[in-house]
This record gives sequence, C-alpha cells and structure tokens, in this order.
Amino acid sequence: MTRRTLLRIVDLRLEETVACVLIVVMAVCVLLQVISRYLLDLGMHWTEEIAAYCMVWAVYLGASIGIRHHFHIRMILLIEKLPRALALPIVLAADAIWVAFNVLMIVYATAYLSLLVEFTNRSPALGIEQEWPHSIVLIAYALMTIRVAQTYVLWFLGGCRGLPAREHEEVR
Amino acid sequence: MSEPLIVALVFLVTLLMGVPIFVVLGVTALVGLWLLDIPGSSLAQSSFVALQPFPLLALPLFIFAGSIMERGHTATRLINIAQGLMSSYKGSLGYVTVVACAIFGAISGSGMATTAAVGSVTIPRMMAEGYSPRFASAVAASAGALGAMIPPSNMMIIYGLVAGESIPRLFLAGVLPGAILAIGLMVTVWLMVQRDAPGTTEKFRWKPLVLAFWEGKWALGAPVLILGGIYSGVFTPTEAAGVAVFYALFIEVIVYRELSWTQFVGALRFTVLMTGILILLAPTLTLGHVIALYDMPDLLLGLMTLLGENPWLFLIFVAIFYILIGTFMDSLAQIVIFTPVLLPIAMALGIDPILFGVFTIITAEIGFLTPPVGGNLYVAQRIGKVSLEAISVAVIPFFGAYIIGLVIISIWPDLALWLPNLVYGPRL
Repeated sequence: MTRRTLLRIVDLRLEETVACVLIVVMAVCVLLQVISRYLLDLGMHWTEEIAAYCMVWAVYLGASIGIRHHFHIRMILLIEKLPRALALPIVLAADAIWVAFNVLMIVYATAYLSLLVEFTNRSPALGIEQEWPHSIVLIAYALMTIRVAQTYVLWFLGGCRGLPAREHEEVR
Repeated sequence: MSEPLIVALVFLVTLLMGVPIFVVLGVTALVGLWLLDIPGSSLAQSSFVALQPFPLLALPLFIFAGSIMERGHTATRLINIAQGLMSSYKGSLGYVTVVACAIFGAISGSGMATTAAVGSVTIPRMMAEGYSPRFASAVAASAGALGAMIPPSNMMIIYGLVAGESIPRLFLAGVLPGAILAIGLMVTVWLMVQRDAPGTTEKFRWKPLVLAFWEGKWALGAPVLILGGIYSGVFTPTEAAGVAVFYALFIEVIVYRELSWTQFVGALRFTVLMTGILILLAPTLTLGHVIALYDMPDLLLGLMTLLGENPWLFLIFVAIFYILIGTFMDSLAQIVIFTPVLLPIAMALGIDPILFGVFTIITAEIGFLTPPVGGNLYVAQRIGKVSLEAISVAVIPFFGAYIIGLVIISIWPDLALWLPNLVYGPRL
C-alpha cells in the first residue's frame, strides 16, 4: 500500500469506519436488550450503557467526518447571494469563530477530564471510569479542528474557487 | 445592554454569519455561562451527557432501518399494494404516492427518506404514464413530508426530548393529524387531476390486489411490528428502532435477497453522517439552563401580554415565524432552537405541550417544502430531473393542504389529543 492510498483511507474512512462499527454495536446491544428481557428473562443493564456510549461516540465521530463532506447545517445560502468580496470575509470570520470555539472546548474538556481523573467515578453497570467515555469530547474537538483546517487546505489547493464553506448537502 | 439581549445577539449574529448551527448554539451557551459566572467546563460535561439519553438512540436506528429499506425493495412492494387499491380511480398514481408515503411513514421517521423511498419508484412510473415530471415530483415531495408526522417520527423524538414530553404519547398524537394531512393531500391530487390526468384507469379487480398484499406481506409487517411493539408495551421506541433495523435486514437480505453489501454499507455510511448532525443537541442542556436562568420565555411572554394573552394570536405568530424561518433553516435545528423558548409561553397560555408538538411538526413539514432549504424538494427534484424553481411552484397547492391541516388541528386540538389520552389517560 502506498503512502498515498493510506492517507486517502485515513482521510475518508478513519472516523467513518469506527462510527459505522459503533452504530452496528449499538443496534446489536439494543436488540440484545429486547431478547434478554423476553427470551432469556434477564434484565441486562450493560447493554443500555454500552449502547449509550456508542451513541455519543458515533455522534462526535460522525460530526467530524461530516465536516469533510460539508454535511453540517449552517445558514450559508444568504451569504452565497452576497458579492464574493463581502461573502468571503464573512465565511472566514464564521470559520474563525468555529475554530476558536473548538479550541475553547478542547481547553474546557481537558479541565473537565482532569477533574474526572482525579476522582473515582464509575459507571453503574460496567464500572467503567468516566474519563474514558467522556474523553470523546476532547478527541472530537481536536479531530474537528483538524477537519476544518483540512477544508481550507483543500480549498486552497483547489485554487480558492467559490467559498470554503458550503451549505449542508442533502447527501443520500 | 442587558445580559439576555447580549446572549440573543450573539446567537443571531453567529447564525446569520453562517457559523454551523451546533457551533452557534455552543458559542451562545458559552457566552451565557460567562455572563452568569458559571465555569465553561460545565459545557464540556453537558456536551457528553446531552447525547446520552436512551430515547435519543432511536434516531440513528430509525434512520438506519429506513435507509436499508429505501435501498432495498420494501417501498416498491408497499407501492404495489397501494396501486392495487387505487388503480380504478382517475389520476390513481397520485393517490398511490400519498398512500404509499403514509404507509412508509409508519416505518421511517423522516420526510426525506420517505420521499426518496417512495418517489424513486412512483416518479418514474408517473412520468411513464404521461404525468408531467413537475407534478410527479411535487406529489412525492409533499406526501413524503408525512413521514415526519406519522409515527415513528424523528422530529417528534427530538421535540419530546427537548420538551421533556413522553415520546409514545407524541407518536400517538401524530396518528390522526397524519391521516388528516394524507386526506388533504389526496383531495389536492383530486383537484389537480380533474384538469389533466393522463394515466389509464382500470376496472378494480381483487386478484391483483390480493397478490400485491401477499407479495408485500413482509413489508407491511414492518409498521405492524414497530407500532404494535411500542403500543402493546413490548418495546420502548428505541428498542422498536433496534428491532426495525434487524427486521429490515431480515426482509431485504433473507426474504427478498435484493440488498447488496455495497448498499448495506451505503446505508450505514449515510446513517453515520446523519448521526453526526445530532451534535447540535450537545449544547442544548446548557443552553436550556441559560434560557431558564434568564427567564427568557418570561421576557417574551411579557411582550405577548402587551398583545393580550390570546393563545390564538400566539399560535398564528408561531406558525408564521416557523414557516418563515423554515424556508432558511433545517427543521431539526428549528425544533431544537425554538422549542425551549416558545413551549413555556405556549404552556403559560394554556396550550397543551403535546398539541404544540404536533403543531411544530406540521410547520416543520411545510419547511421541508419551501426553498431554499427544503430537503424533500431537493430529493424529489433530483429523481424527477426538474428544476428547483419548477418543483417549488408545483408544490404550492400541496402547501395549502398542510396549512389547512394546521388550521383544522389548531381549531380541534382533540384530533391530536384524543388518541393519546384514550390510551394513556389525560396528561397530568
């Protein structure tokens, strides 16, 4: 495998593959919960916990790959109607706010996680230390910052055509 | 400048600048926290916790089940049943689209998925029979919006979580309004095909209908399983969604054998992208606290009292506001952002929160049909290969059906509330 294809896989498939697996695990856990209740007559609590953690992780990883595909909801149609000399600075400012927010969230998530590390706080069913599942907030905002930077690199390499941000694409 | 005003301005300016909506909400929440002297790290905590509630898990699972069935052939079978029922009427394919969307809406929770699943079969069929592409696409787009009202409904799950209302109750409240809207759409089709209905009518015959029912029995089983499971108390909505995923896989892979691995992965990847959009729920817990701490609904209620405390006036304002904002804003974002502010006012004016949910969803459905941001239009327009302008004009009559439905349900709230109250008893 060349470095190029490897990069391509990381670029397009990294978060996506993990998130796909998480969605499948979530579906299986929810089904297991029904089966265990009716067929095996057991109440399983760990399925609910795992499914919920998978959900949060899938949302954040999906949000990160969504940036790559311009999938996030933003009200950009009005701005696209403006002349480019006006629209471009607005979009740049909007994305600067986005990156600033990401950096703030990285700072806050780090502070919050170090608090969790300091104290023991285990999940009720599985006894997982809370800093592990909650670390996704930090991971996701770091990933999302990279993804925003990437859209600008791609835009620049593409000759700065159009605006670096696009309206939420109704991909199917 | 007063602090609530600063928070509102931050929200408005970042929103209009085109900052992604989840960041708009996050920044607004952070500014609110700073002004209230609450440490910002509480947003990091609630960004995790807000996505954890078990009912929320139903969303990706329903999206997954819907996109599996959309890629497979469940929709075709449902359409064949509807066609067997309707083939003797003039303009039958128009009614077929509405009925098939109503049935598919009882499997899928989303308007866009319903439009895509039903429209990709009915639009080509209608064009082959000589209907104009713009009419064919407009019927599919507007009937597809039923998917958001007929339970299960993703919009209602979001509304239920934001409003703290029971999701099964909301689902039941959507049944009759969904039927009323479907009838309204069929009346619109009837009015429109009087002038130019191509399409041949056939004499009604039992045999093809029975055959279509038999062919489609597994597809029909999906809504029975999902809704029957929820209302017999066997599953929670989330569990029903999980079961729906495996049922969809079972019929597409084992019974019909029509789903390829690529299609399965495609459905999964689409689900991941849609799940990522739910990040806009992450700041909602904190934002809800900020809104509550500043008594923002009270401030707006103060404005409303100036106009006399008239629930009707309020509903008319909200309807106009939601329909206008829905032309520019995605319906999901609309519900997440405005429910926490407007629902307390509605309740203070004596409007039932479940009714307000149904009301909100109908305005959201209208939002699906209004350009420039109207998901269903884009989906149907791509299938029918008509311009966005053409389809935007062609949906206007159907738009009327939704407005009339909205008015009828506001005048007789019992149409929405009777069924949930019958099953669960009056809301306390």
